[in-house]
Amino acid sequence: MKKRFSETIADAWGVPKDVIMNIPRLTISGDKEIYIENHKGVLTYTDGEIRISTAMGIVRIRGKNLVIQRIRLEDVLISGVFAGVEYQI
Amino acid sequence: MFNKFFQFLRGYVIIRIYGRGAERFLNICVRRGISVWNTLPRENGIEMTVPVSGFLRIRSVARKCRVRVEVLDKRGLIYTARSYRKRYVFLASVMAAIILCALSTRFIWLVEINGVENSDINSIVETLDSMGVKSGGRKSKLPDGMTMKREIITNTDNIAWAWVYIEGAKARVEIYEQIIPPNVIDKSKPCDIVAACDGVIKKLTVKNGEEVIGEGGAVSAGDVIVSGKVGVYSEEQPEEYIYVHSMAEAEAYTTHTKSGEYKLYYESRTPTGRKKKHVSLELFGKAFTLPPPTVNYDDFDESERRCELNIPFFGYTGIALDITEYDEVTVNREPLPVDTALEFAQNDLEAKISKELTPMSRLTDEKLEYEKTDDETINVTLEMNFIQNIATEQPLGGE
Repeated sequence: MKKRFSETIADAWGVPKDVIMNIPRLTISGDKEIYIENHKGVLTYTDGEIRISTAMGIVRIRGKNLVIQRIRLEDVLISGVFAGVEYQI
Repeated sequence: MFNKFFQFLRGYVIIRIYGRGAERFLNICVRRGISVWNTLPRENGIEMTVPVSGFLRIRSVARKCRVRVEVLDKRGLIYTARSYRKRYVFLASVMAAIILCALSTRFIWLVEINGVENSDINSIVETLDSMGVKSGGRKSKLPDGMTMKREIITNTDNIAWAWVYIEGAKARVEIYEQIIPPNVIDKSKPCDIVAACDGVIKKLTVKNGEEVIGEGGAVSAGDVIVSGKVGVYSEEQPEEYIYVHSMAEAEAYTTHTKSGEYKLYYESRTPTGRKKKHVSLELFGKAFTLPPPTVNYDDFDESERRCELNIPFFGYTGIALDITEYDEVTVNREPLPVDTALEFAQNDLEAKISKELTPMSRLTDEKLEYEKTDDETINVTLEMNFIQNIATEQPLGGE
């Protein structure tokens, strides 16, 4: 797979890729809270599934009682009881 | 909490979005800078909260996404005020209460004096009264801080520093008393050396004055050991006396005894959770007390607290509640071994005796005795023997 230029720069300089490539950063706290930075919007929002669009594809979160606690242009905070987190690239 | 308060001030609308473009609606709102919070997934849509400023901008977003917007609730100061705008009596009462509170802070309703231990508090209160620092006194008529400080220090003895802090309708007076130095007699004035307590003199060193009681002599508290009245004898001259400032050190064997009654059990008090309150309202310096409750608990702890009504920028308003709480407790008695009770008694009695000692006293012997007065009480006597300097200066009265 061919590397993107920005990825080559990030590898060469040792800079975190999410800073240069705008790829999402996910912070998962146990099975109760997910914090996603660098998202591009919400695609699906139900209490069993949330799909978030990102620069590298779609992040799908499955679980129970899923709630978007806070959504801003740069980040989104999701809470609930998670069953799985998938990347749909 | 602050977040909720500011949200209430700004006002917000709880809406429900119906339609297939609900997620798109959410994304566009975020992109256009409309704050969105409390988003909840619902059947056929999403429930969310938007501020009033954002709510006015969502019409075009809804049209673009082809969704239906239902307003579930409107909350905030603007909506609350709107619902009360026709209730003239209520609004007038609120305004009157605010004006009353604001006006009440133009007067002093409470004077709190801190830091007085040895000084004459009545003298301080009289001085404050004369300056208008009293319940009902007008704040605008008060003299400046330096004048009040000067008056308090001048009119009352042993005050090193004082300041009157005005906090709303409360005047807090902070007093710092002078530390009074030990009474040292001027070296130019004649004095005797007397015994500070009972004892037998072990060693007497006289630097000035005439010895009255020598080594081995027994003295009681107040007995003259070295006299400042010294006889001068000359041949063929009548006897004359000179008066000197006596100086001496009198090391003596002394005995100090203290006794007290101590219990052979330890009491622990556990709250049961039942409590009664007695509330009294203080309104602009006048107390209105409700009838006290009937406290029919066998054992209870009593505590008092005060709740003062303070409003921002004005401070204390002159309205306060004094609450007395009676908490029911269960008292459990746990027996104490005699040794433990004696140890406690010895510490307690030693602390009492130490207050009677002069500096540099040396302990030579101590004896602890006890006798049972009943099954639960012992009478403990502690006898402590010391070698101490019992010499104290006493001025020669009028001579």
